[in-house]
Amino acid sequence: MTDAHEFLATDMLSAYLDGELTDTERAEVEARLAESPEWRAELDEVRGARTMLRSVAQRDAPEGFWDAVLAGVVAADDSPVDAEETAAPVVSLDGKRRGPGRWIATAFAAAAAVALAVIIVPSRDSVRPDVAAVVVQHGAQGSDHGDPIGTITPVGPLAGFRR
Amino acid sequence: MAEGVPTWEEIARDHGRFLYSVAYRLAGNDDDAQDLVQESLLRIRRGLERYEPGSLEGWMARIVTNVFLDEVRRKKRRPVDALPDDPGRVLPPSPAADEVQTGLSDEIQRALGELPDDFRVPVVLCDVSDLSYEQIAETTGVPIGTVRSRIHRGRRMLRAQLAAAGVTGP
Repeated sequence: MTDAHEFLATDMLSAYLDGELTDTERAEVEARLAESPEWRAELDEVRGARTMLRSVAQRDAPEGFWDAVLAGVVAADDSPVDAEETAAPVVSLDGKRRGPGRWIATAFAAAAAVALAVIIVPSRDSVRPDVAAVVVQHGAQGSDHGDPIGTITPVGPLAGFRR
Repeated sequence: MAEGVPTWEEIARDHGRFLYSVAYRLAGNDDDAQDLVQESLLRIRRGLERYEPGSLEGWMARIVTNVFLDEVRRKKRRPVDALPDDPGRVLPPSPAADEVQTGLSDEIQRALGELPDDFRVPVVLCDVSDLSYEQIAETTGVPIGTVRSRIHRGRRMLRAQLAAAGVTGP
């Protein structure tokens, strides 16, 4: 075939669907579509994928995620951070999962430490050393040793973010 | 902070579902999506001073994608490669509370997960985040012609994966 459009690339079809072509390019693609069943078939193919992907519902986070993560972000930013650190990942997506979200685990551990302190220490003032303070201070660190987020101190969930 | 710029808490409250969806489609599972969202929110909080009012979700999508790509470059791994350590991760361990778990959604996510990062990322940014090709090129650091080609090839791969799974339409 030696028609005027033979050098057009079919990847223009997705750009055509996305409205990313110039007027000239769009006219060329439409001319090619009118004459080529292969191009029409490929257009249907990518249109189908595009439609399906765009029709999928948004994903909701698991229950309790937002309260924990918002508290974690606040706590993480309470620690001094220099400018260069802001470009580096704070968490890593390594292959070994340690439970649902490291910050969440840490926040839950911190909350558990607070609860434990309340339960097992009848009076902070009557005990030396101050066990409750020690538990609260080190509970989060103990949950994830060596992780920069391990310095998180227990922070209560922000009100109004339960989704 | 410039007038009209929301606080990071407002962003999390009003756009958190969008942020989580993009993270989930990129990462392929809830655990990694949670890590991505956490890191992204931290960067959003720290970057709000520099944010200029415009497409807020576009800005958020670029941040979460940058976090994802940073981790991909660092770990040189694909989401499916991380599965063998824990058999429980083959399927999301804690299905979202109020998402209707349709078979189609699961099949599409599985098919997306089979795409190499170079193709999955531009497809997600286009069809989930609704970014322009120019924005996708800027975010991924590849020429716009390459973005166009990868979106097209990525969609064809996705369609082929879905057809192989017996899914032929929405």
